[in-house]
Amino acid sequence: MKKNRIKFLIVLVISIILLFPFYKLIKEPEGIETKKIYSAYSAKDLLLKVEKNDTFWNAKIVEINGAITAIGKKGITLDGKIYCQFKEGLNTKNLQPNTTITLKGRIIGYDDLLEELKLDQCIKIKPTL
Amino acid sequence: MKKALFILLLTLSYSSFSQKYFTRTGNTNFKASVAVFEPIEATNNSTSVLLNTETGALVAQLFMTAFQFRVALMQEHFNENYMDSYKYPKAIFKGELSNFNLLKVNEKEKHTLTGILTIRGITKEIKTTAFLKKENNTLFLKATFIVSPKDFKIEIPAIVEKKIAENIEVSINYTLNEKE
Repeated sequence: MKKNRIKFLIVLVISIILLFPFYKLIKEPEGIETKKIYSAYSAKDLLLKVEKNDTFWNAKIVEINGAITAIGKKGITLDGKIYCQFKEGLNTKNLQPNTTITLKGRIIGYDDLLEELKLDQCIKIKPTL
Repeated sequence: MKKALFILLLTLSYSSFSQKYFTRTGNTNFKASVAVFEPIEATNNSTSVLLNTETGALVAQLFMTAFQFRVALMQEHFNENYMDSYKYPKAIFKGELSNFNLLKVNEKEKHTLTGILTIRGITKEIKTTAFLKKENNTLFLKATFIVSPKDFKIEIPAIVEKKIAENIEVSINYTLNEKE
């Protein structure tokens, strides 16, 4: 009886080891919710930092707070200079201009075409709904 | 009189400057799948596009890392091995729409979209057919074109060569609104 149990365990461990590479092949990209935050900034500070060295900030996950200056269908603008695109499926309803908000999002880069910093996959941290 | 003329000129110049349509959330998609093998495709929903509605000049820019794949590993390989997304974060297209007239946008009319696409610092000329539609104050722009990894000196290891198409279909789908 005990021998059987050990055998079973060994088979289980081996199959997990063997199947792990296949799991990696089909794994979906990690969602923003569980990703670790690099650091938290105010909109103004982040803008200054990214302007200095924008490649460093590529794809960094940050927490950002600022004043909402414009509200679009898919995202909002903070402090007039940072566009935060919301995570797919989230909407910008119930948000008020000129109120402050804290978001978690991913920096994708400085958009010199529209002259603003761009974040995507943003989710609300504060105020929570 | 002089003052009136000045104001007139000022408003005229202002209005010609404001003739721009844009989006920050344009959809750019590519398909590099080969039949039999697993699908290789990704979508970028954060493309910035600026269209000058007086001249038909169009600029589109996207960040490579914003391409979303269904599989995490594929996304990692795309950014790190093939596109060098940390060294070359952007792709830029600068071009022009033929016979563009904002007031006469017509679904059935075909426009030629020509321009230069820059990826990894390498340029390629693009020529394709674009379709436009206008609803109220929103312009819809659609087009597809073909590129090849060779065009941008993207080396694909022999082991996966057969799984990645030589002709990659890029489709663009942009919803543009008037820029204040």
